[in-house]
Amino acid sequence: MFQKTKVWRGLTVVFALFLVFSLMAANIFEIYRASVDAFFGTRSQQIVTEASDDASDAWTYQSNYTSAKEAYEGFREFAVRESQETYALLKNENSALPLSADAKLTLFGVRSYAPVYGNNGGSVPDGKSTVEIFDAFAERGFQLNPSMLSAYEAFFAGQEWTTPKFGGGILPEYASITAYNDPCELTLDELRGLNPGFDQDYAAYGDAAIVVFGRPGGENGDGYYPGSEGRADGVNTVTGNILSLSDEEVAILEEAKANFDKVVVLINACNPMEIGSLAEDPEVDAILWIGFPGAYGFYGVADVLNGTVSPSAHLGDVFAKNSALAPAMMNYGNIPWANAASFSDDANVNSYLIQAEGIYTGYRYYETRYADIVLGNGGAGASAGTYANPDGTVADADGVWDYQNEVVYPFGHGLSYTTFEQKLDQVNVLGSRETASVTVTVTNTGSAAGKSVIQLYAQTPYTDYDKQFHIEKSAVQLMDFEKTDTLAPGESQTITMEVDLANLASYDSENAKTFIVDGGDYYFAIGENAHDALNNILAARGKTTADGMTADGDAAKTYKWTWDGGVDSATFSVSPAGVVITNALSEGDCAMDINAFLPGTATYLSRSDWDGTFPKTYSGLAANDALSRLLSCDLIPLASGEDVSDLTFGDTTSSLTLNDMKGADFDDARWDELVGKVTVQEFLDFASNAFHNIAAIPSVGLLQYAADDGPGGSDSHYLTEGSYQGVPYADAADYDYGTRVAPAPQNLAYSWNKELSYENGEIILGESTLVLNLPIMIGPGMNLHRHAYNTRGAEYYSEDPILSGYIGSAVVQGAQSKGCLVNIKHAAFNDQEINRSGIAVFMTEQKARELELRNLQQAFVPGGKPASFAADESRADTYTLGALGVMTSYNRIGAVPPSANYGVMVQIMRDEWDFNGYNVTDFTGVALKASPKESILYGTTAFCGFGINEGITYWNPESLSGDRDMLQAVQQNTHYLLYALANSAAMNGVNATTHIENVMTWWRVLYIALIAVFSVLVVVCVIGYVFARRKQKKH
Amino acid sequence: MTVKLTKSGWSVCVAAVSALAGLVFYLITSMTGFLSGTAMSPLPIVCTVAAILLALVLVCAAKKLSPLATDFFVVAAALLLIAAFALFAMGRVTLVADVYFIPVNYPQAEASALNLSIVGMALYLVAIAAMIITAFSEKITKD
Repeated sequence: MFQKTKVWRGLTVVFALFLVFSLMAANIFEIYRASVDAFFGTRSQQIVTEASDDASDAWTYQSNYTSAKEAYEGFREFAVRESQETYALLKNENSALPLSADAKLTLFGVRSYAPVYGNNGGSVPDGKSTVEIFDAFAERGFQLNPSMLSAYEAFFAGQEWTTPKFGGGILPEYASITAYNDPCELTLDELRGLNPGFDQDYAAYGDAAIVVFGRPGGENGDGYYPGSEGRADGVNTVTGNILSLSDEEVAILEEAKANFDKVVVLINACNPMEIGSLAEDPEVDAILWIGFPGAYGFYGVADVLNGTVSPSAHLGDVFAKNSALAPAMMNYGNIPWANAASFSDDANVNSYLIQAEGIYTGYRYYETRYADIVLGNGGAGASAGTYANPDGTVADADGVWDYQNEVVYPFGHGLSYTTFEQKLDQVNVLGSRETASVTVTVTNTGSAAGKSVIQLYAQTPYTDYDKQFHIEKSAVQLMDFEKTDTLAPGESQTITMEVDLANLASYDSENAKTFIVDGGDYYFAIGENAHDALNNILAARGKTTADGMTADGDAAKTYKWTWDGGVDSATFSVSPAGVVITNALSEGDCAMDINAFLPGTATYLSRSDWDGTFPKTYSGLAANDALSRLLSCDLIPLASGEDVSDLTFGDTTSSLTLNDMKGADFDDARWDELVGKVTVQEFLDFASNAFHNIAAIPSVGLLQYAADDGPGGSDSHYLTEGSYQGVPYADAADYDYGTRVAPAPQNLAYSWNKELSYENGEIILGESTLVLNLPIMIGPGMNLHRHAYNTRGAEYYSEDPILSGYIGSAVVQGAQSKGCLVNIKHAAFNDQEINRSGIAVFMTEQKARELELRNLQQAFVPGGKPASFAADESRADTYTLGALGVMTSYNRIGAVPPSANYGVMVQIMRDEWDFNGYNVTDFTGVALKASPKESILYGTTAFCGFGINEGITYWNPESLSGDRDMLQAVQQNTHYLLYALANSAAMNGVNATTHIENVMTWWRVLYIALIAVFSVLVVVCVIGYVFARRKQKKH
Repeated sequence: MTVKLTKSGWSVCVAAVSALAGLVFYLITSMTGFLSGTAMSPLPIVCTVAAILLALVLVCAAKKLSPLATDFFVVAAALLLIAAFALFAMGRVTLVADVYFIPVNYPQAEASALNLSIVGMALYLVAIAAMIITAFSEKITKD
């Protein structure tokens, strides 16, 4: 056969094809080496440091874990401990909780067997680590009704947990019950079909019925929708919205109520559910909000249920009877530009979002409207479709707005197994009026040990000046918070808070064009929640239930002072960095107010006319020429031929390396010398290779590292890759577990515990960095909750900028103490998952600055230092350096890509906040939709994504070298990124000898072997052909 | 003049037609939709056109070609198609990574570009398979 040329001819082609396949595979594997490592659990590179004199000083950041066992146990211990503080007791009639430690329980609901452990996209819980609810409960001593369990077990028989859509590992959720338009609750008939005797052991396990209702959430490209649009066919709910209980869930609850004296409901959702019907049901004895508990969190749930710990969490979002009636919901979802199709696809133009509710999101709306009604300022009259009936359904006729019909549980609500008395001891507004000192004493007046949260709120005057210049004021706003230690019965603790009064200031974009403070009366109040604090303020203003208050307040818990004089536009007009604060987002290309482009389009909600200004849906808008220019993402032409001779790139005369700059200040004079060594090409290569990756910059000795997505721990890496100070764990192979084990970030915020959040940053982000050698962790997530319907809320903290900002700030501080280069995400206004990539977000500058940006600012300043840290000398070095990294958002800020919005990126973040760190886009790559050249001009240091889109033809030194501004930006951005990395774990263990060596992984061996084998076979076939041909010729 | 093709000859025709169709998909995905306006690599076009020309020569002038020239044309056409396929595929790796790595973060136009590219690459594979069949076969035209 092999004497025939056709055989050799054919084999040549076949082996050539396989050779090309092998070359392609090799090329792709090396391009995406870090991702391949994450997928296969391999290490294809290692950092090698020779012994040297400075070896002992090289490890700036120390991990707590020297082995995989220690790491596994450390993460687990913290996750359980954190979880215990993150569950909010919403209702507890007749002390239904706690249960006895060995209580015999019957679990109801499909979520009682398969709860939502965490996000289903982005920071998903580690399925390998997850301890299931029934195992955790049993391990803690509860005895569970086996007949009911077996029914659910039968339903899930043969089903497997899913895998994450991105990242690695196992996602502990079943696809069959994961939907945004159907709670997927089983009916009683279905249960009977699964186990005819599912109800036979009610009496034997009758200490309590535990009913679990849940809703999934995560980074998933879509959201919950209100009304019938949000419900699958056949799904009916109490309020008509998917966030309230479905008929099937109600039936399960009725079954529990009918057969048990004690019914406890667990709310297993991070989207605030509409649970007015549960709150008002006298047969529901207790409601515990558990959010997403994480991999080990059901131990913590059991610990709360059995009273091992007293619940101490408080809601960080208002729970409305019908969240779809929040003014923010009037503009939500997919609202396309009428002329979206006229833009090129790579400009990524789709829809817009006009946030006509202004500052009135969450509790700010409900409490302010309530206060205005009590104070006689109007607001009671409401049009059909804008307010709720007593049962939470939408009122379909004009009528009266009633707080009791709107709010189930106010922001800050949370009960305990004990009682506390909080006394406002002292308030001192300090001389400059920029800060205040507030002292509160908390006493445990009950019979159980527990922690108490001090919530400090403020009220500012709403003046004629405000009305004239369209400045809105919330009737109550959170100013600061602290959590006590665990107080034994009778024990007291006094805490003094240093309150930043800049957070009282309002942004006046029309007249003063800066932050102002009105002259008039100001109130501080403590309270059990926002509504209670407001009632205390209203009491201080002489109001009672006779004026329509829901309860009488306690004026003794308030402090009133007067800001003398008229409008003060000076005190808060300069940032802590010494930069004058003025309009950044009201005019020009960076404007966020749609009226700046399309005058008269939007009317923003105002407390001066609640009903008349209640938002309408702004749909059908077409981008005009001004908007179209911005939406097209090509804003600033590249210059050519400019004199750049004085700018130094690629200087080879200096011996300075990044290692010499370890821990250096941003203003260190040596940066100029080091930055001058970097070539333009090196910067461009670094910036375009940033998908979970820190590219090497050889000229300054920066090595290449992997990075990973957070914020709940590493998305893709496992303890099998763990190491301690450069040495792989000896027991790594025995611990195939991840670090995504803690409760959802939203749970953390609901703990209202700054110290715990700092520890979360240290362990969940910081130790992930050290154990897995990931200098950059993308997190924490700090976008605000605009309303209840965004499915990604679990990854963020709260609706309130102070709760979110201070929790996020604490996480950042903890993470950075371990060398983690955080990437706070997402700057800014990533308010919904629907069309998140490309959506144009519009709002007033007042809203932008007082909510989302005030929130983010806390992480950069840094703000919110815990009182315990302030009082502890050993903590003096904390909160001295703000966040060193940020990730921009997918959405546009106004009409331009976020990284190309000069107002936010430069004027506010870089200048006002003095942010000098790493700024990366969110999975855009170097593509038109990210406005790459404008983004470089405005401080972007890297573009996360897969390389350079072919349409970006200027991504080379030659194209940029004639534009002086661009080259200066390249140098500035190089300074930013090197400074951030020099102050991170990227330099941990690095000394003059440190270098990277490739490791011969099995997949490298495989592709090299395949290339070698097929190359040889091709050659053999060619030779064989030649011989066969000669032989044929002879014949 | 009528050329009577063997199965091998028809295989060359299938390869040429498939390659042409694959090229059309390469051009469509490069010049319209998500990748429109991007710099299109000319190499897949050159390789494909050259391969098709070689295939036409093989079909139309098979009897005039020496056995050595026939072998060369068959192998060269196959290798050119393999090269075109590889260049086409490597040019779409970013697209694949974008769509499949973070599967909820791409515009529909990007998915369309990828799907059309996959169809195009599949057509190239058909063309390559057809050329491999030809390479193992004896004659292209009947005597």
